[in-house]
Amino acid sequence: MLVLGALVGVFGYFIGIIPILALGLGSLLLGVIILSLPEPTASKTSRLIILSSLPSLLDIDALIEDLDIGSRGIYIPVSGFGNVPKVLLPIKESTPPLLPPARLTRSRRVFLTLGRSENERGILLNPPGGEVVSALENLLQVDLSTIKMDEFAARIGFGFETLNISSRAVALESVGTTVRVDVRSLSIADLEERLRSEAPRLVAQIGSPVTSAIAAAISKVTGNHVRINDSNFDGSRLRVSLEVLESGSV
Amino acid sequence: MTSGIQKIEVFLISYACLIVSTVVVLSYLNVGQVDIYVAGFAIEYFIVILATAPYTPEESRRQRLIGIIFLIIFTGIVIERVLQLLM
Repeated sequence: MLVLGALVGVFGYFIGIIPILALGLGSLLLGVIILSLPEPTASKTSRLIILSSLPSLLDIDALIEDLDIGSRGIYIPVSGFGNVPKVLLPIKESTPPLLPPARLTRSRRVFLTLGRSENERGILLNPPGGEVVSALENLLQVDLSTIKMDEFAARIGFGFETLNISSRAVALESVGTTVRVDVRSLSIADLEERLRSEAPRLVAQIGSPVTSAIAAAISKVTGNHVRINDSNFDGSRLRVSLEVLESGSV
Repeated sequence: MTSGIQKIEVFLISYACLIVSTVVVLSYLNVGQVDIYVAGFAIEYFIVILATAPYTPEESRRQRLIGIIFLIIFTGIVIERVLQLLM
């Protein structure tokens, strides 16, 4: 708008037609106003939804603390349009990590015992960002388990922008078993910051809603178990590093 | 997921429509001075701001800044016109 206005204005000035010059000035003016607007933030409805979901997320954090769980959550892959991966939080982390069976994604149980050792017991949760994955599939009209990582990397930015999660492009880089995702201009920055200060276990072990949505989506796209290596937030930019747990490599 | 059209979008659409209307009407009236167009844009800016208020504090702060610039330009145009009349 700014460039168009300047071009039309200069053109109008040189050919001496005042209405064209005025139209150019008007476009230039609108461009300046649009540029001066603050970054879009979550709307009032979004804020209400965020505030409503916050207590549940704080409860999960308290549950993790009460059960003295120190392990990172393992996202269980799932296939099928609209189906959302689940996350298993083992009581103890093990090497190699536990790879829970895919059938668990249909389970409605929370406290699970898969074997005798402590690392085979844990809590099975719906990931905080699970429904975002479902919304992403609805928006893109694609079952994420049927597309390749390259295609997902190309489409996640459009999906996040349309779902009002971020207002800028999302960068996704996959190197070996590590996937790094960079989300800029996060629209729910206040929720992200609040969770990082009030629910640090949830953020580190399962992920905030956006981190969790990314982990769940990557799990579905790769068809492998995924866990969060690291996630950083600097006020508007979220950087997530995920580890894809391929059954052959662990 | 979005909550429909937001206030700032109403402002931008209304203001863009008014700018185009002003250019169409003034060019139809054979107005040849660009300062009259700019003065029109400035007055419309304040009208649309008032009609679509209130805004969030951050939006208001930035709009106030543009408003001050507009006011300076508008005052300059008026002073220039008054001086033209006096001389």
